[in-house]
Amino acid sequence: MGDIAAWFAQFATVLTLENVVLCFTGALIGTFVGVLPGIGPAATLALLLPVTFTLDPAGALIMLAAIYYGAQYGSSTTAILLNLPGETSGIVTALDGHRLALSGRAGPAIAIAALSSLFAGLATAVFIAVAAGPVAQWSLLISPAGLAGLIALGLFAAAVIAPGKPLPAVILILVGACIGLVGTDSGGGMPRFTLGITELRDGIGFVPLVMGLFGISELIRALETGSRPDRIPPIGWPWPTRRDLRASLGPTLRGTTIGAILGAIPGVSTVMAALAARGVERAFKTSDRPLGEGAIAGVSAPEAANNASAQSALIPLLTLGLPGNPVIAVLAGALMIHGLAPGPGFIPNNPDLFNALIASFVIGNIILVILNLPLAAVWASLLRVPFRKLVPLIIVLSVIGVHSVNSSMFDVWTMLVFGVFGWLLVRLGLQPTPIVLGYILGPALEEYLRRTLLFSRGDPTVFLTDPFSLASLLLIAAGSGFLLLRRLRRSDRR
Amino acid sequence: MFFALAQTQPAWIGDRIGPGLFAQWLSLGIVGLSMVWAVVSLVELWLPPRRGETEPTGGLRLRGRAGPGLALLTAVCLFALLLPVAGMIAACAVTAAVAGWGAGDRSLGALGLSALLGGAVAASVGLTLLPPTIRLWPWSPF
Repeated sequence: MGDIAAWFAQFATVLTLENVVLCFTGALIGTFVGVLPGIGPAATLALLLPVTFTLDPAGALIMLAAIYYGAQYGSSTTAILLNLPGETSGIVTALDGHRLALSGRAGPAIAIAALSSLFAGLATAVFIAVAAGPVAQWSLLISPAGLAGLIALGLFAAAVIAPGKPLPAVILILVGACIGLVGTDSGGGMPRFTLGITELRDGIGFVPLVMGLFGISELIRALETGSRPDRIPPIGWPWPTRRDLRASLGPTLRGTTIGAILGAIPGVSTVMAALAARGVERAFKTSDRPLGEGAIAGVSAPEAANNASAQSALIPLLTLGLPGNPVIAVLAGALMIHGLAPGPGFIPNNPDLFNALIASFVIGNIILVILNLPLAAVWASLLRVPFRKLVPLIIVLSVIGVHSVNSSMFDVWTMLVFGVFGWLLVRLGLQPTPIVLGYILGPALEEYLRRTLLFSRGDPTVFLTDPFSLASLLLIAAGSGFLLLRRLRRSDRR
Repeated sequence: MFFALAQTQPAWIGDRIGPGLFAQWLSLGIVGLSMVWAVVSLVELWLPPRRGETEPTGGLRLRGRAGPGLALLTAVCLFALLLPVAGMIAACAVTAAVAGWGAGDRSLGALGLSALLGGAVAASVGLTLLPPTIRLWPWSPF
């Protein structure tokens, strides 16, 4: 209860004009990004990182987080109207939402999506306020060996659960960790992987890395696969009937619960939470139409789940330092740029920042409903702007942003190198996300390994005697065994 | 490369971990798992595909024309090459035009407009937000 009281007290504090404006700006940009297919929230966050350097950490975090969950809202609008989600999580909403739009009920579908997202956002904010504090206190009791084990487990889970083949994802995580080690060794001050290049002694910058891997390669992916609608259906009166609201109540509650729980697991994306929520709805009888034929439950459950999971994904980051998806990884990078290390001790050491973030969730979700409900038609009409007209502007802002961080041309070349690398990965059907996760968590893993072996005087058996480390290693071994067995069974079936 | 570089670093300094230990573990992991992946991929090539199995379950694999990708990367490359000699505004104008071409604009008018917009964005950001040490024009002192 003390946490809730502190949160309510902080609610008033966060309502400074500057923070509300930043939250509004983030929500606006997030909706814009969510509406437009082609540039996702991870790339947008990467693009805007240099802008946040001038802000205080709370303001930067509030704005960047608002972009993230704003993108989930915006995505639903175009998913329902045009069957063209701007963000992947909208794919699940489109299944029933677009059916509703085709039957002339686009307005109620958009309203249900917004209201379900609002409920999920508010409920998850309370969930984080209540759950994150105890988890953070508990995480302080974990030894360095346990933290090393948990980081390894988080990376493994991210590689296995994320879409795509697990083996290349694990390799890319290791490559990312190696990239994170480039620079001066924190233990002995010796240069490592620098190839004699002076600029590399400070390491590879986070901004050029994510701009190259996400910004440039996402733009290329959008250009090579993009399509645009010819016609936008009429939206009509954007308010659901009582029957719609009743039909959405249960699915919203279930979707919120599923999203909030799944989002806290590293590696689970918003689209996976939305899919799980829709899957659960199959077990329940819908009161209007069957699922897949324009059921309200098919809109409310995935929308609640994706918004809840987008927010609860912050729990492992803020308590254990584990970013579970690319957007959270970029948020982690933003915190580190501001001199704050997410992980054990973050919430106890920065209670004001944490409470301000939670309070901003409430404000941001309300702003998003105001932005999305009456302006749905305006957002949808943005799709009439040809994407090719936006590309030059995005590229120019990217290169200026990367160059302006350190006024360094080396950073621009670094972005180019990672742009080429990201493009090659995309062409090979691989995701660049594991590299960023490895880049962030690799040095942290090394630090905890170093501390553990220092305390144990070089005895590695400490990883088998520490309960957290042992449990993590056993889970990794069990997961690897399961994957291997599944693969062998598939080969046998052939 | 990481593997070769990691071997040049000491794994232990006395009884303390050196800069090479974790790097060697990681690079060894990359080499080992890459070999496993190569073997698995080779085996998959020999086995006939299952019915209905056409693509990997991962991200969208791009095929076909590589023009947009090459053009966008060239645009970034041109920015890096031109900025030291021509200043940020001209570099951004050229970058925007090349990026516009990569995005599918083929008319001179559209490319010119992209260049103009790129230059205008660079000028407005450069004059208001960036430090004066940034070379905006070819004749700037820095």
